[in-house]
Amino acid sequence: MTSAAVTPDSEITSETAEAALGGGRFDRVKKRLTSPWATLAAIVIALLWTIPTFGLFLSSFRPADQIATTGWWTFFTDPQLTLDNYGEVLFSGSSSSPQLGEYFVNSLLISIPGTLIPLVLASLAAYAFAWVKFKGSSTLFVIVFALQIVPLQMALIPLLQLFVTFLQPFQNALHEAIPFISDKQFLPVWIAHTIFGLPLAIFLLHNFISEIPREVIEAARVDGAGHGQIFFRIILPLAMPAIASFGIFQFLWVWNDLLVALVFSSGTPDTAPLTQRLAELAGSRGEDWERLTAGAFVSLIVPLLVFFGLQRYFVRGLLAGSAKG
Amino acid sequence: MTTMDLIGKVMQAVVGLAAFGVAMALLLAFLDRPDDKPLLKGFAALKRGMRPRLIIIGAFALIAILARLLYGAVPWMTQGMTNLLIIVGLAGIGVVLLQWALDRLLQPAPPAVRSAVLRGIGAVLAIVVAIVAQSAESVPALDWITPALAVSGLIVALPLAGALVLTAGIAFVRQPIRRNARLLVWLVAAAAVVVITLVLESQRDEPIGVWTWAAAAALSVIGVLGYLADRDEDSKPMLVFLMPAAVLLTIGLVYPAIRTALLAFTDKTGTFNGLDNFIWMFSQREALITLGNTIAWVILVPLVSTAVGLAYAVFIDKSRGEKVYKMLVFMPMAISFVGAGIIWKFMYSYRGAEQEQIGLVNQLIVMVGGEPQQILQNSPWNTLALIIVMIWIQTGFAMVVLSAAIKGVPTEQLEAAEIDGANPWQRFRNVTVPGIRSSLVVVVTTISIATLKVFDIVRTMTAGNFDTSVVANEMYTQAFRSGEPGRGAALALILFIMVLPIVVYNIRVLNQQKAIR
Repeated sequence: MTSAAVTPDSEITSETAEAALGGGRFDRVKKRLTSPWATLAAIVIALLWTIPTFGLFLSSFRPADQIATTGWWTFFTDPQLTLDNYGEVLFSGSSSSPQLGEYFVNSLLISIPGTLIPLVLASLAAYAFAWVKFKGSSTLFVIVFALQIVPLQMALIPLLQLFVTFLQPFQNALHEAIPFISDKQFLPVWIAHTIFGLPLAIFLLHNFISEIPREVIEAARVDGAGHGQIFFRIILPLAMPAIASFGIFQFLWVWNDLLVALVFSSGTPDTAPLTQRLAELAGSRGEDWERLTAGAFVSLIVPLLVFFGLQRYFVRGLLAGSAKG
Repeated sequence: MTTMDLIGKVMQAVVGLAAFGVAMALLLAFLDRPDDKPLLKGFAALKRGMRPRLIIIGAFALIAILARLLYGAVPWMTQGMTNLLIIVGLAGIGVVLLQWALDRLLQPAPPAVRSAVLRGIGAVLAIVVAIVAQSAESVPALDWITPALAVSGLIVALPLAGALVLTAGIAFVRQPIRRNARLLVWLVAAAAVVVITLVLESQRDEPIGVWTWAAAAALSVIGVLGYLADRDEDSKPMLVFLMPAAVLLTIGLVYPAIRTALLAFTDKTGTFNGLDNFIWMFSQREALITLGNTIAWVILVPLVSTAVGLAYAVFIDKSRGEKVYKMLVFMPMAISFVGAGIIWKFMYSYRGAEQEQIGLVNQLIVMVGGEPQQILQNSPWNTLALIIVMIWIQTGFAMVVLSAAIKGVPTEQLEAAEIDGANPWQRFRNVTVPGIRSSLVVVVTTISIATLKVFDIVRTMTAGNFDTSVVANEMYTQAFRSGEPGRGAALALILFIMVLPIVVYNIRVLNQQKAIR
């Protein structure tokens, strides 16, 4: 438990534990330790934690003049709903409006490679740390673990200098060769997300891959399989649930990131993601609530869909792994 | 957004992922390969006959010829694209021929000879690249190579070629000496790159840039990894598995962290200024407030969110609808900090006393008879308002981890305590809390680290104005807005020093777990 709980990934393990304990051999008569007062307190906390999101959600559907003049709770006495706010932030052609549609595409195009590339590299490295014996393996692993906690702020300035001196000429060349690829590209953002995601990904996947029973791998080795075959035939299929669930988290982080985007994307509609545009709007148009509320929900919708839709895969994935282990 | 823009963007993603896939496939081709995988089958087929090679050579030649023919004939075939395609075609043909030669001529040779020949070819290639880079200005196809890049190419290529030649010679020496000698050669090459850079930089007007430094780092990584891998035949594949991640981490995290640490002692123009940045940090009122705020954040957020999360986890434990309860409080974790910032800015929004309030918090203040407040502008309470947002986000994390830990506390112990007549509070205090101590520590450290690095919330809600800035935000402002990278780096260094105890503690925990396993 502790090893996984070092990281934000723990909700996965907790769900597993919960399912195992609640549904399995501990399925005895349910016994509450606490009183009705506790239930009341829980309901109060749950309400406190939900109301802010709910208020914003409701507001995003109210007409603009109403948002600006009355509180969203007046909706219950005077219900009026509209989709205009969403139409405006997503598709409006005027230059003053957010036109989030374009930034939405950028967010997707940043998040997908920004998830896949670190996953592939991290699963390779995790396998090497877990199952390829070499001297200094554990020292290297501790270094990787420590890197995870180095604030990424420390890496920003030099990495940006590296990108400007080395990557920018390459990007310009690509732009010249294929004119409709802009010279402001996603490449630096992808590389930055890959680098910053790697330490945690390696650490987590290593934890999972190293729990695969030794007998399975030794049996394969006796049958003459080399590291390549073991990796593709045994490790990848067995670790796929863990890889998938980490992939979901990495996707959420990349989608929700602001700092890396601010530093490494161009800041123009060419590459800037949703979060960057929203932060800009919140700063410059702090009182345009009809745009901000709808815009915020446009950015929330993908993470919430991923979170609610794929929640059970976290559980299933880790159960499958632990049952075999 | 025009359709062309969209196509360009999607093409970036497709080309980028495809290039990554090809690079990975090439890398993995060094391993033993399962022959039934279609892609890898292609590589295996290459090993056998001449015909597949001829087909591939034909395809590459076709690309190059088509590019030349279309150039000038159709408008979308630019000069740049023509050059690119011709270079790709020629390079492809070259690679296939090289692979054939190696396969044919070197297959029966002993490993040492193969290794030596490969290194020799690598050295020749490095020198060719350096020479080509030198003549970049006169060749139109290479005009994207800047003078600084050309010089860097030369600085890196010569030590690289030298190292390759030397290690090729060493291939025939016997084992322990060979390993050590190779490590030495690579490290000397890395040092040579650094020294040449420093010498040349002092003679030139314009700086060479950071590329050579990264190359020196990469050379050392190659040396160390090769040293580790060369111990026995079985550990060689680790190079293939580890190399991409190791190179990226060195270039992207280790090297930048060291650079930043050095940058913290320089001023705007990059000259050494001793401790000035730190003196500035501890003498300016704003900077001191920033440090104070950060300390308030790092004390309040972990404590409150862990306490609330723990209470909530206990309250809902084994209740009906536990999953729904959990989801409601966990939801803020899935929302971006920017989204959370907007949500709470809306909660805190302010209207004059004579108007109707639209922010819930001010509405509540008015309802109990108070004056509406400019919550995000009145220091020091505005910092508290921002801290509440972070607590709102992190509580879900604490709750889920602690809930799992609580379920791990043996039921027998709780029952025994109950039979002994302990009331619920005593059972919680004396049985549950000791049982989940390690998880509690982990939750507090994780949230502390996340809090120290917090940036997005402050940026979105106040941009650090009205005395709300924290170290991470101030660092961004100084480095990227005020043009003071030295001060920004100094702040980043302070952040690292604040995180350091937590790193050390976590490494100790990690080692303990390793010992148990």
